[in-house]
Amino acid sequence: MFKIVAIGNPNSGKSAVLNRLTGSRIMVSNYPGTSLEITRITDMFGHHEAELFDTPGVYSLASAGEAVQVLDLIEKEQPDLILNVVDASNLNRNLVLTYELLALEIPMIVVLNQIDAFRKQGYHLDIDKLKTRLGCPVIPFSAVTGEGVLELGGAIESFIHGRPIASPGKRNIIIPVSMAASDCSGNCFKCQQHRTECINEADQLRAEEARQTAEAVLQKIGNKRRSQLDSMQKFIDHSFGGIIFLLVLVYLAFYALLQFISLSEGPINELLMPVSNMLQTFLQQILPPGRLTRILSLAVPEGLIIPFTIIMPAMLYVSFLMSVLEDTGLLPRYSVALERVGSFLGISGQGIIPLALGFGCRTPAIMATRIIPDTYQRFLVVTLLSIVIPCSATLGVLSAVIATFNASLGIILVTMLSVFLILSLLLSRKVEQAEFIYELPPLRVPTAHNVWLKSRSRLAGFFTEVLPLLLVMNIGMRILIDSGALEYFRGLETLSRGMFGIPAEALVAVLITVFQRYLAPLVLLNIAMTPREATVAIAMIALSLPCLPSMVMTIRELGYKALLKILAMGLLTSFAVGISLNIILPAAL
Amino acid sequence: MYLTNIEVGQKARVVNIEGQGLAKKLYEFGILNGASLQLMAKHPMRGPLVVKVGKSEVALGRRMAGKIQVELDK
Repeated sequence: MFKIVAIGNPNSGKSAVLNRLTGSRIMVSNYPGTSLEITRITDMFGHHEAELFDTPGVYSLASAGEAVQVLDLIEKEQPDLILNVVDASNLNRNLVLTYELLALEIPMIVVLNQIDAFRKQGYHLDIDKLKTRLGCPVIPFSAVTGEGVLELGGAIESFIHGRPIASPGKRNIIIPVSMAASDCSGNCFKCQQHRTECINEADQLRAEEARQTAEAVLQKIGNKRRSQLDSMQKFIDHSFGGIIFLLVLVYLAFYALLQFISLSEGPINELLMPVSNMLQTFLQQILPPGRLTRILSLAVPEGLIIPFTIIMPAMLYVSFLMSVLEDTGLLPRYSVALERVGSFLGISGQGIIPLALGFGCRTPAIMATRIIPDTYQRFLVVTLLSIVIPCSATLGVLSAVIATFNASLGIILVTMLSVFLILSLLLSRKVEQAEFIYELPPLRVPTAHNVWLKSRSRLAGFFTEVLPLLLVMNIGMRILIDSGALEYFRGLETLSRGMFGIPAEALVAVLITVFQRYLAPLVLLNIAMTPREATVAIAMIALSLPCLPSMVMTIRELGYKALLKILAMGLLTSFAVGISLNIILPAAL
Repeated sequence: MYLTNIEVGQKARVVNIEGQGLAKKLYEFGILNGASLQLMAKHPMRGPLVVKVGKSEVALGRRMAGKIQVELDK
């Protein structure tokens, strides 16, 4: 089959180009490092099927990071065509990679992406001159407006039909005279040295060539149209007020989340109550009377309705918020603003982005830790994500349980913050401070379409993972309660009261929910507890083990050993939190 | 003179980067010998610097910036 690989700088819009071209739905965001994996899409061009690969962004092929993945893909798949996606607004930097790709001697089309944003900057770009200088076709493109989609599709189709890519000039491969004679041409990008420390003559010539080409094809024709967005970007990036602004924004977002949950709970409950009752009656009618029916008629409506009232609003809100945040380009700004705080705790600036993503869902956040170059730093951030950071589903659960028992939100928040501080300080003592460097993308107004697509795909997790899991677990819980097995745990009463100051049932609940935080309400809501007991129990649950999907992701990213360490730390943390709170908190809250 | 010594708003040219590994890393962001930079912001409490390189803005830690030797543009 015909194979096409999209390659380009981070945040140049490779995924967006492929989405436009093929109608695929790869997640796109406005920060470098959104796509960390290679995605494969098949699509028809005319009568021919082609396979397209989306790759993680790279600044250079000779690099130790994602570039290795990209080169391996090229070697393994032997692509027929490269789509080099170039950010038109940042030609100089992007062309360095273009010149490297030309050296691979694979047919190539340069996709001049974000041409709509470029036009607002007051420059004219001589496309014909660029074609001649590079020696390959150049197609102006906008993934936002759809400009260039037909041309690009047509060019690919005619290439598949066997017409060679018309190259207006001679293919411009840079081989320095002094190196051509030696073994190293500077153009294979495979040796370890070139990946980590060598900048050879070819690299320098390419950088110079890129600079000259950008200069030759660009002509200033007017002034940049200053938009409100530019002024805002200037304010956020270049002033102290910007940091304050970012922090106030976070506070407002959290405040709004709590408001949203408490406001939506009532109406949703009212709406679903009749459904729940109907379901219960229905089950009682169709099933033969008996124990199983008694359990199911309680467990099924409960397992279906509670997630809708408690978990869904939080997931809905956070999915939407994260989708907006990712598209604006504010996320990397948080990295910069919080770099100081992070480095005090031993977390590198890059770690802030995955930690922030964790408030949405931990599983993709664990994958996003790949933007952290250092392995131990990654482990540190994954540990914090797994044990401390509450995901949107957890947030919903916790706020609902807190409200029911009138537990102290303040104490729980302070506990979580303290655990965050203590864990990161303890773990980071071993590592050397990682260096921080990150490109800041321009601020953008999120498109409604993209926010909708992302929110929807995030919320889908509620129906495919959270809901079925909770239903099954809830039936299991009801069987356990009904069997009277919990009575045996009465013997633990002294121990439980003595260590954690909570009743034995609550300890059992904690032990069960330790494995799945979402279950907390189902178990706890069936027990009578004082605010103090509830505060301890909820804090223990909030700071425990990650959910199943994120455990699987941890194994994939860091291996079994890392997961075992994290699980051990999670259990220890949970117990330590319970014991400490029991000692510290006054007898009555 | 190092990048950390110049004032916000000033433009400078890179003359040397201390350390090969660092030079390689910075090369990918367009920061190499001869490149023109403009310092856009210094974050408080020895926080990161924001520099403009060509059309893009790059944030980098103080320690890294402390290894980039520059010459002020006249």
